[in-house]
Parts: sequence; structure tokens; C-alpha cells
Amino acid sequence: MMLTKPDLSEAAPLAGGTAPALQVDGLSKRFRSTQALDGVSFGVPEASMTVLLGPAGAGKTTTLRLIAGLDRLDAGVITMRGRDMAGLQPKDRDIAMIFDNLALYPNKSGLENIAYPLSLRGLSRMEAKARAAEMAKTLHISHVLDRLPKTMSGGERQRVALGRALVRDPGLFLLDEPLSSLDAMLRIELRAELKRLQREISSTFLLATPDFAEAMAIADRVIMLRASRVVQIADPQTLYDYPADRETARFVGAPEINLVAARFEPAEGGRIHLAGAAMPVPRHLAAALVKAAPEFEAGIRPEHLALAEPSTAQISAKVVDIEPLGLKSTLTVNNANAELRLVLAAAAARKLAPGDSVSLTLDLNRISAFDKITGLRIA
Amino acid sequence: MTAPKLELIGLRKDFTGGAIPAVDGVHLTVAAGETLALLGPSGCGKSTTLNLIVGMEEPSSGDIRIDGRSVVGLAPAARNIGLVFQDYAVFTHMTVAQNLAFGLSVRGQSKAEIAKAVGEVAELLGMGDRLRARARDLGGSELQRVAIGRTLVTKPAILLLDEPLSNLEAGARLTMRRELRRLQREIGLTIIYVTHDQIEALSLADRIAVMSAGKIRQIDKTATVYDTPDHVFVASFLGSPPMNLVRGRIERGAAGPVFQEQGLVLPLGAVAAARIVPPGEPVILGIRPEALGLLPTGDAPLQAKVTLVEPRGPETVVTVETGGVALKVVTGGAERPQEGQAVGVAADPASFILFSGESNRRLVA
Repeated sequence: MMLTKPDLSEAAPLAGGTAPALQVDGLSKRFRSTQALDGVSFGVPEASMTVLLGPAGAGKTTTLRLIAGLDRLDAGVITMRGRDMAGLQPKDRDIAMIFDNLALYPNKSGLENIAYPLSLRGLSRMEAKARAAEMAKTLHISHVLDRLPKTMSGGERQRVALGRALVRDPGLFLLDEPLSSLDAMLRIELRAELKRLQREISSTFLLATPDFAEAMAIADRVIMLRASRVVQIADPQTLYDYPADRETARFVGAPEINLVAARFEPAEGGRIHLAGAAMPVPRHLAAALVKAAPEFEAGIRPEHLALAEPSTAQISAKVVDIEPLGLKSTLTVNNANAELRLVLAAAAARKLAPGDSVSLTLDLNRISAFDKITGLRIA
Repeated sequence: MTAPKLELIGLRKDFTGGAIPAVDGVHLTVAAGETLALLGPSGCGKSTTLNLIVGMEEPSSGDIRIDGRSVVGLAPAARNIGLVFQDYAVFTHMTVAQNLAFGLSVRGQSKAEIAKAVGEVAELLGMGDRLRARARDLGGSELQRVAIGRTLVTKPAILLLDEPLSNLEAGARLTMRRELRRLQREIGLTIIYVTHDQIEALSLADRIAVMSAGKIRQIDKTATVYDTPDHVFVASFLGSPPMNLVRGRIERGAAGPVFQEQGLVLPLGAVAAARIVPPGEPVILGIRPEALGLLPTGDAPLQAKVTLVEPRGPETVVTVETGGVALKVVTGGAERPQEGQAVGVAADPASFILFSGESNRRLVA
């Protein structure tokens, strides 16, 4: 059956060991005065959902275009399953690329749109249509096969575009923000479906997105790209819990991580001063802080702060803003030393108003420390 | 009693060639100083509703009243409504001050009046020190602030915001939402906020009107719409992830009514509405993903298999299959099962919501 992959994918463990589906090394590309990519290296494991995450202008699309062979690289090597791609035309790379504009043939039906790449390859009409119909079933779009794109919903069009790429059964899928033109709800629904599909056919996907929530939800491995360079490669939870630097910490997570000026004082077993309070040094920071500069930046996730009784609290502050978000609310508080965001149950937040005094506790074992100047993670 | 700021009465808009009316009998009132969100997916009729209020479209039938007076037939400029949309529509070759002054200059106000109004609005928006900056040098959230400011200087009776944050990056969106909440508090404007993003509706609106297929499915206080959706569509559009909505039927069990769908059987003794539904009747059961929990397989009421794991940072969304039915469960970030793993599921029936399988409306005992 066409959806079955060669043995290679079955045998290759996710973390690699054998040759990855795709490996890029030292990728560089300059457009006139702009350095679009500067020595980008990463691997995409066989049968994985790997996500290129980064803000606009980080170099995500450039990376995909170089891999697809649509642009010429200035330096670097791209290999697919050990084979060097240098000099190969896009059509000879066994890659399908899907863009966010979902360009379908407007005067072809859903079925004809999906079957088109197969007809191009010279499959008989019957066979092409049979395969397209099977693909449509996998994508739950059998009901749109007779319809023209203009009568389909955004989600249906997206699935037809996906089907057209999938039916070719290429060795690698490149997806450039495939969901970004869709409504919020549909995006959440389709990203789960995209992941289900990728699992089901065990194909290799490299997907670019600026949306950290999308990356977290679907990725086996995230490649964090910023200012033309790879900043971190990790699984989603590691990226969230141990961001490599301050900017990554800010980029991943909503509401945004709290970044607070902090000072380490080694005397008497060591204390940390932050947000106007003095606290014991948590074990995971102790060794690193002794070596680092005394001034650092503490990264505190909003869910690691909680309201507490004044007697047991570490930090006193005043409420600045309350943002209701359904079951939960985001509370912004400040004092003379810091502004902090925390997440709490909506019912608890409804009892508060801007200007109220509150007391907070902090889960010290979960804080990150960043170098004040370089922004790099200390511990 | 004073008239509401804005009233839409039986508002309808047909477009030639459209299978259904774009706006189909919309009825709502907005009080002075209130923020109402029109929430719905693209194509639901929210933008057409807004165009009717502004006067860019004329209704097929129904009335639009501002401060008790009909504005149907009035030119857009005569309605005193400020409109801000996602493409900032700021003149990039002008300075911030020139942009802010634009609406007043075209109305022929004196230089002194304009300077005073511009100064006040810039202060309000925290851009007092940016008046001489060129608009082309501004970032997205600053541009959107200028766009809002340009509308505010004209002192509109109602401010309409059409997806104003869609073009901003996540961080800037957060900042702008906070900024908008501050503006609401400080100037008490009447705001209609059109969005497809539930986060913006939840975080900014006093009340939410959820629209689909040209109709308002529910209009109520924000917390009420979220906690007790009146219509299946509303339930499917709020929450992240939204409620699990399972089609099935009510049957009589030994200990009271039960919900049944394929191999999934859930006791509904705690759900008052279940007692009024005749056995065999089709229903849709709504279960919040937060009202479900994962347990060891041994002592759980439901046995399930994990089919999808989506980490979100502080928590994880786990999709499980039980009795042939897929359910989403929100768990803490630390307890993360593997895909394919067998797990137990516990449900809190007190939070179940039942909808009619025919009308899609919430069933009330």
C-alpha cells in the first residue's frame, strides 16, 4: 500500500543513531545586505514531527526553501538519508512543500486536486483517483471530493492541499506555517489532526511556525531559531522548562515568563534577593551562582507563583491588572522592585481588584537563572 | 430611563446569491460604557453586523439605534462611530502627531483645539513622548495604538474594534489587551469588539455575543457564556481545548439515567437535566477537559487508551479513547502518559452539560 514506508523508518529510533531523514550542517544564506541564515545545523529524525520555531524574520522560510532546493545556499551541506542534495533540482529531492496559502486549482474538484500529482507522474486516471479517494478517507474529507474549492471551508481546503502533497508519498514534508491563515479554533483542531496523520503514515515532517503553542502541541523535537541561528534543540517540555536563554524563555509560554532582577549573596549559606524579598538558594542554582556574577536575572513561570497568607508569604505586592481567561485568570502585581504575573483560578481572581494588596509564595525549585548581560542560561 | 447606547433590532442582511442571510435577525443592546464582544468564526456574520452598524452596508430589514435614534440611512460619517481594524491604516509618511490630528484637521478644527486634543489622547495612550516619531519607525503595537488614538480624538459615541490585535505578535497582543483594559477603566467608552479569538473576548468583554451562521447563539455575561453555554456551538467555541461534545442517548440505568454512546456509559444521576429526557432520546453530552482526570487503570471507573499527548508547558492535553469515544483530558504538566498507554479516566458529573441532539440547545431541568 502506498502509505507504507520503507523499512528504514520502522527501524530508526526517534532519537537517531542511524542516518536521520534530513541533516543540515552549517547552512548560511545572505540576501544582499541581510544575513538570512548563519551557520544553521540540525537533524530531523526519521518519522518525526520536527518543528522550526521562531519569530518572524528568524530564517524559518529561508531554511525550508534551501532544503527544498528553491534557493541556492552560500555555504553548508544538506543530506537526506545520507545522500548529499547539492546540485539536485527541487523535483529530484523527494520532498513535498506545503505553504500557508493553500493554493488549490479553483476549477478542479477536491478529488482532481488530490489526484493531480499522480496524473502528472503518469498513473492511470482510475488508479490516481482510487488513491486520491483513499487519501481523502484518511483525512476525513470524502464528502468534498466532488466539490470545487470555493465551496469548501478553510479547514477542508487545507486538508485537500495536504492530501495533494501526501498522495505523492515523498520522503520529507516541508510545511511553512500551514495553519496560520486559519481561525484560532480551527487551527487548534487541525494541528491535532496533523499530528495524528503524521503518526498514522509515519512520514517525516519539518514544520515552520511562529506559534509556540502549536510547536509544543505537535512537535517531537523543536528547533528554536532566532536571528538566523539555532538557539536550542529540545523536546517541547524541555524547551519550556529549561530554555537556553532569556529570549527563548520569553518566546515560549503564555502568559509570558517573569524575568526579575536578582542578586546572589554568598554569606551565611547564601541568599537570593529578588522582588524585594530574601530567599534561600535552591539546590539546582547553588553551584552555578557561586561561579557567576552576583547579579542575575531570575526566570519565574507564572504558574510557579501563588497567592498565600501574609504570614507564610515571601513577596508582598499590589494588584495592577486582572485578565480573565475562562477557567483561569492572569493576575499582574507589582511592588517597588518587580512586576510579576501569576495564574490563578478565575473564582479566586474575581475577589480581587486593581490596587488590592496581595502576598505571594514562589516555588524556588522551579526558577531559572539567566546571565544579566548575555541572557544565557546559568542554571 | 435613558436609552441604551446601541440597539440592534431584528437586524437582517441578505446578499444576492447568498444561500442564507449573512445576518439573520440579530437583536442586541449595548449599555453606555459597556464592552460587548462579537465572537465567532470567519463567515459567521460578525463583520457584516459591524459594517451595518458603521453604515458601510445597509440592512435588508431591522433597525439600528444609537442613543435611541435610528441611524439607518445616515452616512457613516454622521453616525459618530469610531472604527479600528487589524490593518492599522496609519499614514506611515506622517508623524504620530500628524496621524492623531488627521481626523480633526479634515473636520476643520482650529490648530489650538487640535493640539490640545492630540496631546490628551497621546497622554492617555502613553505616547506623549512619541508625538514626533515617524509612523514608519513604529512597531506593530505602537501603530495600533496610533490607530486607536486617531479614532479617540474624534470623541466617538461608540468604538468598534474589528480584530484589532490580529496582526500583532503574541507578546504585543498581551500588552495591548492590558492597555485596552486600562483605557476601558479610564475613559469608560462603549466598545463593540469583533474577534474570532476567545482569549480576546474573555479578557476584554463585559458580555459576549457568540455568533454562527448569521445568528446570535448566546449573549450574556462573559463568565456565564463560558460556564454555561446555551448552545452546542457556543460550547465548541470556548475553552482551550473546548468542551468534549459527545453525541449519544439517555438510557435508564439501575441507579438513574445514564448517558450511552457505543461502549461509553456514564451515570448521570448528578445531572438534573438528564431526568427530564425520555429514554432513547438523542443528546449531546458536554464535558470540560478540566473535569476529567487520569488515574491508574486499576481503580478507575473508565478504562481508556491514550491516543495523543499535547504538552502545553504548565499542563498537558491528553486525548484518550474509551468505549470507542475520543475524549480530551487536561492534566498537570508533570503527569504525562505515553501514546498507546492504557489509563483510567475519572469524570466529575457535576460539571456535565446536556444539550438536545435535535435543537443543539442546552437542556434545563
